[in-house]
Amino acid sequence: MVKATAQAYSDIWFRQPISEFIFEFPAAPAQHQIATQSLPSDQKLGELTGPVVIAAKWISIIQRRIKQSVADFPADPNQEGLLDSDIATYAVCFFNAVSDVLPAKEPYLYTSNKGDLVAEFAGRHGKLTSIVGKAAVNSFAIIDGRMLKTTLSYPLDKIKARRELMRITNQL
Amino acid sequence: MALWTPDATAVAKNEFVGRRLFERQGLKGAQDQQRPADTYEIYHFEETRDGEVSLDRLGKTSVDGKVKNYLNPRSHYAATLLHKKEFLGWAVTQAKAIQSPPNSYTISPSPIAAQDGGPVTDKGESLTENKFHAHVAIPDRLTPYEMAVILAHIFEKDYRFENAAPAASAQKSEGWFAAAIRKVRSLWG
Repeated sequence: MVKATAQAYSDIWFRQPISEFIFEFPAAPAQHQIATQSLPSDQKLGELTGPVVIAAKWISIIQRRIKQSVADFPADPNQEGLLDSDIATYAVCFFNAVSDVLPAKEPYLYTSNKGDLVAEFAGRHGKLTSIVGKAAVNSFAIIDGRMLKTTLSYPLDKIKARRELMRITNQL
Repeated sequence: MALWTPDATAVAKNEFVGRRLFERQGLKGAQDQQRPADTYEIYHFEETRDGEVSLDRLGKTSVDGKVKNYLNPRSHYAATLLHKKEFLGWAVTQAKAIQSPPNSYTISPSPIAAQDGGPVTDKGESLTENKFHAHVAIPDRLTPYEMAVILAHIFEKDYRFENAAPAASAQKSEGWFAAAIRKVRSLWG
């Protein structure tokens, strides 16, 4: 069976015989050349990267604030205003993954009595409070007297995290 | 007029209750951030005892100045000795904001008795006693963080901050004579 491709057709040779024109296909090498070339259509769907998210404007500021708040090793548990390095890492990963679905205004950061990082986002209808701990990120909002909450465990499922947070921030 | 004697069995809806606020250092690397106005950080409402969030009953229908004067030195004492922090004042709301739907949390009176030999005020009153103490029990369905978020939300709704009066400089330990007098008084009634 003859497999015609653009490349193959481009390699069709013409010659003028004694009697009249005839087509002559080249031998196998052209087909081999095509197989070794990578084409955009060769990429499998699963490998395709989706649209690139645009991070929130505040992301670099928040990253800086978090990084500058990491306690020296070994950390003094009684020292206020400092973050455990693990919590700081989780927080940076969390904000990098979901900043585009969080409120546009930068969050207010502080630590809880347990040393977890608290980020408060102001919204039109309420406040979103995200608490980054060592085991999970808990997010709460009270809208019209009803509490909306989500717990996102590590390792963070980026798609689930975005979906869950959007469920809350859409009402904020 | 005498100091208000709160009902020892229930907290009425019109009473004013307060949550003590203690100073805390902000995040070291975030000193440049703007603190949102008329809000409370949730750490003010995190439980410090098992499953209960402490409150002070500040007055029958408004913040009672005499009750505030009674609580002020005790709050400073607790701040210095127990919390190792400065006492700032109270986040204030009406009891019904906590007790009524959709919140519907019970506020239980839980006065604290004076400790023998504890410190006293200039007037010889115990600093460890609190006649106006109450608490909200955290329901089993809620985590301490959820409860803190809910209480912060309730207190922020009609934001009211009641300033602490400066700490009295003269606080002394109860001497043996004062302790004996108080004990005799308690025995007689």
